[in-house]
Amino acid sequence: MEVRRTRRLTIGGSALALSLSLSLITMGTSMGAASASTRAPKVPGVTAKQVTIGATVPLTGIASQGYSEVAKAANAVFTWVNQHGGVNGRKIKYVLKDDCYGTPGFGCTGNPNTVAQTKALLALPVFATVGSLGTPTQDSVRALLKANHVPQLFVNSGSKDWNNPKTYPGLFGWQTSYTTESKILGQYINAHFAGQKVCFLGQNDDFGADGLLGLNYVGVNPVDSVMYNVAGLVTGGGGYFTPFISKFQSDGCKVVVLDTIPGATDAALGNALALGYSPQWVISSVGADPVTVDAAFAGKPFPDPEIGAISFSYLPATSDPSVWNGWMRTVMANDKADFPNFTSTTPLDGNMAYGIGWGVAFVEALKAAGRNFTRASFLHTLMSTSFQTPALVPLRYSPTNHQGLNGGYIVKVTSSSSTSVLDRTVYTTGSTKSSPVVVTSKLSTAIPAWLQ
Amino acid sequence: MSSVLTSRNVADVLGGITNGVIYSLVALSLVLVWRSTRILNFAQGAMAMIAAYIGFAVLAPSTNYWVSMAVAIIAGLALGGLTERVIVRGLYGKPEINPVVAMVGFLLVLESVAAAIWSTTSRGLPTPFSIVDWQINHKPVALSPFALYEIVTAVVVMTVIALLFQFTKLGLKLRAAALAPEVSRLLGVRVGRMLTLGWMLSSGVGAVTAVLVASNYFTGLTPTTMDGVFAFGFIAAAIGGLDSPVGALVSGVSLGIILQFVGDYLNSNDIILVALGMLIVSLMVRPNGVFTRSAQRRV
Repeated sequence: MEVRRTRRLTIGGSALALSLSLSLITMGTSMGAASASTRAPKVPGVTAKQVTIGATVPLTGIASQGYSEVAKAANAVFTWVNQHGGVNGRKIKYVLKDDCYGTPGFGCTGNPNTVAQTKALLALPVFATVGSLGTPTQDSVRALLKANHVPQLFVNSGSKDWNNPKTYPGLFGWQTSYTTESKILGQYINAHFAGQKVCFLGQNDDFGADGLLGLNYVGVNPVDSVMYNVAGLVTGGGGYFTPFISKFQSDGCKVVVLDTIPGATDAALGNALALGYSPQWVISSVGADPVTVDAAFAGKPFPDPEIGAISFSYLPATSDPSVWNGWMRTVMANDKADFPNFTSTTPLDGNMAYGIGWGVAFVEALKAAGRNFTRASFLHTLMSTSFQTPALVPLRYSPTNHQGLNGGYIVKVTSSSSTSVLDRTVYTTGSTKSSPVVVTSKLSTAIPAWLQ
Repeated sequence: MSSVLTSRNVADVLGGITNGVIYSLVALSLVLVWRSTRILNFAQGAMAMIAAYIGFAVLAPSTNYWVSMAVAIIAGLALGGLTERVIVRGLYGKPEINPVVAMVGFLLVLESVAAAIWSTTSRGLPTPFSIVDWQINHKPVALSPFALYEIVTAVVVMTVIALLFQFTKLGLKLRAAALAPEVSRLLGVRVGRMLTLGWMLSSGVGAVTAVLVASNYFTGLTPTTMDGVFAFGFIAAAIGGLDSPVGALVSGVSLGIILQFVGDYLNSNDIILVALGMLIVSLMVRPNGVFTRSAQRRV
């Protein structure tokens, strides 16, 4: 009966591995059954009365904070459209598969295998995947979707990977790329904080790398650049960032640029607060949403430390007189299935506006494609449509550019639930060093009549 | 003098102690159930997280911090007792893999339930003391009133547990039930009840830990708040020896300090690597833990 702890630990490890593989096997079996029972129609996912689309998104797990509501917000648009008769006589059915950002644990209740979840969507079948989230996760299914001729639309990430029309003709991004955004923020730093020391904290993937590159392109060279990893943040807690922020403080940085996800923004701001350090924060749109960032600071005996931070937006700020703001709230309040607690007074957060943005783009493309379309003709329409979306800059794709939006404006966080626009000047630029940052006249579009 | 207090190394030691006492509390919580029931409680962090949610999320934000803390502790005690009676009791005497699988499963269930009820959106907990570090000559000392409160709380919790086990009749029964259940039973100790009590105490300690963690770590309370802290606490317990409360204390604080230096002088990204490296080396050199006196006690 003697039991050595070391052996127990080994057994524990094996047990974990065993339980994980068992769950994968179970899921694999159920998927096989699904694919065997379906019969592909003429245009996969399209019937006389319905278009079925899907997405793999982090509804639970490591990346679910804030991001779990993006695709649901897009579904609020689909619900709205369906209630008003659908698009060209068809209702939109949107199927979400929880892939937990491809990471098991951390409260994941889905299947943390993006490939398996994507195959489950293919088995339905779906006409296209629309608004799947994540750079590593969507990179892992690019080839699979291409091989099955399934369009991969409006991928939720600012990676440049989505703009590769030669290799992936069916792959399209949506948001302004990390590099483009950083170039515009960098230009703002040059104009308003000239000669001041800048420090940079970024995520150790293309988000941080492309962001730093964008700063460098416009001549902003941080004296201290640090890349953090998400797993470290989750295991180490907020204290994991103490040395980073402490170094920025001792280096005398007056401006700190954060290419961080919301939880990491919290950790950076909280550590600076503890150290009595208050630089000018410049935060990527990815991790600046005031509602999401402030949640961790609610109930604290000090004001939200994000107030005063500079950020970027390609969607209208809450204070912007854009006609879209009211419409987005109406659509959200209408979707009681996805947002039972959203009322006329609930603040519309950045994740919701983001999802609504490409939700609108999809229904517009579907309308423009007409009653009879194929996957090929739909993509052709997508590349020739001038969309009317809530975004500040026009959404235009072409056979050589699948990136999506290419600009936005500078905003300032003014409260724990709102941002204000500094001067409503909209800038656009490309992701390369040579393309200049140019001022564009305000290009926000009206709401299409049929959506009102 | 002031320059010493604000120096880099002192800052690392102070920051390390603040993190370390949390690891010590997690380790202590693990030791309490390991000693009495020989079960590694992988769900320790998740149980603590649930208790913190019950204390702070269920009550309105206007509720007094100390009332919420008390409710969290009571919830922790109750959850610990229930877990022992409902889940753990059937696992005694079963193959070693059964409790491991059961507790990992319980962890997943608890985190999912918490996400379903309270969502994964982070929730800020009130802090009774300022989290801003004290300053000397406008330079921060790596210690805030809240950090001091954390350290004091940990010391108080550990002292109470130590006094309970060493100097009370109840503590004697608890130790007897853990060390020699058969003999204890013959002598009239209600062993089953003692084991339940051991789990309650462990889970109560966990509740205090989770509240401290969620208030101070700038990332608020989420269903996964305790995941990372649990990992480090587990490593501290394994290094210190799962049988030794003193080992839990010493190795938790040591681990905290070492990792703070690693984060400062190497890179924060290396913290986990170093911690896991320490675990592997310690298991190779002293598989029963640095502070465990008798390796083979169970008959």
